[in-house]
Amino acid sequence: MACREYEEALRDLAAGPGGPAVGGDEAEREVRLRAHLEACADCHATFEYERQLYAAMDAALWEEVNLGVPGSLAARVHAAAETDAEQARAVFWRAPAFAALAVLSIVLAVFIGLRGRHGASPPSQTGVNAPSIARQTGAKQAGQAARAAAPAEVLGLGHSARAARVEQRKAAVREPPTLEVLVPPEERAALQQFISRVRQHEELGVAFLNSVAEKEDGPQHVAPLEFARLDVMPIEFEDED
Amino acid sequence: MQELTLAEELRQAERAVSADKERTLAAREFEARLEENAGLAFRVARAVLHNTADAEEVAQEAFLRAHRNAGRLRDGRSFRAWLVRITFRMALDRARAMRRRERRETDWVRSRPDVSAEDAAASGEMRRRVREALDKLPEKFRLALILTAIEGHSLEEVAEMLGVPEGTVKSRLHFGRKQLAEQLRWLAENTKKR
Repeated sequence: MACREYEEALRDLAAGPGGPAVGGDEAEREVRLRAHLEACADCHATFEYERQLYAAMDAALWEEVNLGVPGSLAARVHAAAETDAEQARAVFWRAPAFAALAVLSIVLAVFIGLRGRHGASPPSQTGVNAPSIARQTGAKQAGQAARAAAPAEVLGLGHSARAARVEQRKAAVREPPTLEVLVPPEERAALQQFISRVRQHEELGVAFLNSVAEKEDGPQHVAPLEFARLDVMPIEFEDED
Repeated sequence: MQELTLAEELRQAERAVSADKERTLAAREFEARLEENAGLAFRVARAVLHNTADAEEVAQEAFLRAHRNAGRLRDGRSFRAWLVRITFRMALDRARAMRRRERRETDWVRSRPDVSAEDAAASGEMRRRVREALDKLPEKFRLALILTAIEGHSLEEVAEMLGVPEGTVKSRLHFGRKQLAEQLRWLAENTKKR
């Protein structure tokens, strides 16, 4: 049995450098400890036991961690790296395809949305005599007539511009099987002529000329349709709301 | 028009050559890293898991993970340190998962198999005890002990791998060894009592 006062110091000595700093001269302490070991048989035996324990422990630890590396490891890593690269390539090719598909879907959605929005667009008021656009898409004749006639109906009845737009959209979506158009008597002949012209030129957009209302919610008055004031021009959509 | 086409073709050829060069360099770098570090990763994993098959799998995964992200390292030398840390962490995670699984299974089996005759042999027994004791050490002591015990690692190298001063490694080794010895003593006493 080691002397109690030297027990911990013996273990520290066996465990090697890096022990706790006790203060004082470490070298001097070690010299004192070694002198005690020479003189005390019990402490000497304990220290020997500790040394052997550490030696056996170190040897076992060395054996435990220095086992041969399996030859298959490199091959495994190569195979896994190859699989990784293949997956990366697959993702590389797949990603643009998904991106293209997504872009196409968005473009299609926007196109359809715009068609729905402007297909039966009512007269807009962007300035004096600013053209509002009723788009000719080559749809059914009834549809064309509805689009052509609707502004006259709406304007003639004096709806608000916003309410008119909502009505127009609803009408465009519903596409009524039979058409009823309310037209002031003095405009009927002109409208009839106008529709027949539009039917001949399905590829063209149609612009109605309308003056800006003083108040958006007030009744809107338009001059009777005259072909002299009908322009054929490129379609330009403007942002609404 | 023809000149433009020719210039474009030349540019394409240059691009292809430089891409080839890059691929070759990357492949060489991969091989060099593999040769230099795969063994280390395996040994660290094996010291934690005590099982060759699991250690091989962890070493492979850790190596690929470290290599994949090596571009983020500012210093090429720190790859080794990074790999060691990734491997150690992955091995610890797997060891924990294995212990959980084992616990579930032993709920059914209850009794553990007896120590084999081979294991009972003197050196085998000591290694088994060291393994058990090593598993109980705090992680930072354990890694310092493993890395220092792995053939050819100086204190300086271990300090570089752990990203700590040499004095810290020395201190971790000292306390790690002391705790390991303590565990071994405890195991030896418990075995005697049995």
